[in-house]
Amino acid sequence: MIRLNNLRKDYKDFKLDVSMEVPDGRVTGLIGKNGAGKTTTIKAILGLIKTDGGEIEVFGKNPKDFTGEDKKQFGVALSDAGFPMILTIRDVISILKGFYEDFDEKDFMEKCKAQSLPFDKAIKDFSSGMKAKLRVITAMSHKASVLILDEPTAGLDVLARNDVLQMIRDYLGEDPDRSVIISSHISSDLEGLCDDIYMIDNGKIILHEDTDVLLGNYGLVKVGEEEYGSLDKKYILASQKDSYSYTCLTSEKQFYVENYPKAVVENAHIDDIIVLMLGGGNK
Amino acid sequence: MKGLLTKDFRIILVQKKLLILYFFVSVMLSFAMDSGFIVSYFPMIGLMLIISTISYDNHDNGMGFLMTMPVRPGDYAVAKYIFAVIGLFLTWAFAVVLQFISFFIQKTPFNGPEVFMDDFMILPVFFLIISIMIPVEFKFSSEKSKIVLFVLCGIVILIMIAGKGALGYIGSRFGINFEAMAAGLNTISPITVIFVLYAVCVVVVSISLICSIRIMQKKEF
Repeated sequence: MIRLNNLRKDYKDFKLDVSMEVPDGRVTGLIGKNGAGKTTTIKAILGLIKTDGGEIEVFGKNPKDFTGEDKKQFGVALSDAGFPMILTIRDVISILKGFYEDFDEKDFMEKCKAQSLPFDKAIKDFSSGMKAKLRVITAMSHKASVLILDEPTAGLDVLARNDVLQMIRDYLGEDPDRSVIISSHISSDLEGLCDDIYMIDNGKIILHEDTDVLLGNYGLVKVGEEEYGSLDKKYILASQKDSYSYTCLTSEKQFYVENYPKAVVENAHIDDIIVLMLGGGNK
Repeated sequence: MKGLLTKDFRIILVQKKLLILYFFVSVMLSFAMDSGFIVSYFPMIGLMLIISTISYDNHDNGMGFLMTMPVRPGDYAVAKYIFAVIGLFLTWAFAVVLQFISFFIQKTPFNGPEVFMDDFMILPVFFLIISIMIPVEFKFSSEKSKIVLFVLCGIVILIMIAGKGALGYIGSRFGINFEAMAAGLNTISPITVIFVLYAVCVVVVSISLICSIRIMQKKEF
């Protein structure tokens, strides 16, 4: 269990203040614009930064008290960070063997081969997709109970993204007790993977919902200017004025289907929710 | 710890072309120049390679990633010192062997114990240099640390010039003959000098290690 309660981190030009919970066996997504606070939150969970207030508890411990043994529970892929780029996969294998008794060399090599990653080429000469795949395979190499993946698909083409997401699904399939925290600014990556999603903006959690609820109950209500005035807004979370109409985000689309037959009610994808919640839409 | 040492060793090994080049240059130098030069030259190369591993660790946010591995920041500092001490000792030992091979091949007459004494006095100098360089590299980024080291060298030179001037002034003012005192130091047995030098070295490296551990513990990644 990972629990953050009003966790604060103050930088000169940015303040983080988040509360969230990640129960065991769940896949939790953290979505938000670039610079919203996703990486800072992940770094706080891993104990890589010092916090300025609030509480943080990871497996019953404050991350600043983590021992090396505690860290073995995590498999981590940070965006744009990894082993020195002059090394090769063969070097990485030797290093991981030195770090983890549970390092599964055979499985690691099979995964690398399946993704056509060259063993003797310097990592700096890998494509972005290959580097991302290596980061994720490395995180999965020692049977960690929690995967923490920061933007594992950023900058990848659709095929490479699919490969990375499939690797994560396969990893979860091997043991249902495994948890994942994954951050991304690409909503479609999280829709098919996460049990619940936290939306973060400007250092604050602005929405937390189960993915099923987000995709099942949330919707877009499109109405004309006149209808918008008389619209019951108790389930409207955000709205945006278009040229001749309003697009409203609701958490109860069925209510508007039943009570406003003239309104166009559509399913909302996470991208729509992000655009309306983070794009400056006002209620 | 084992993982960190393996990583550093692998970083050095990747630079094998450079190592081979240094090896041949060392062999040539050991034959062409004063045989004592190689004993200073090769550990200097070792020192540069050891410091380069910190730069590689820092590059592309690599240090943050390393801290997600099963090590604490203090462990990283300890591993770096272990690697540095082993690395410097091995490069020094290699240079000493090369020096003696050159003596034999060139049939140069030499006084074994005396050469050994000279060689043993060189190694602590490198330990002292690394004791300054490692905490500076930990504290500052790769670029900044070069500036800091440059400034530190300047300060040391200034202190030496000022010290020399101060000793001259004190000597003439109070009638103390520092040159005679310095000459008197030559009467101390080399073994005593080496013992004192290594004892100072252990103290300095230990203080440096403690500083480095604290720097790493305070650092954010």
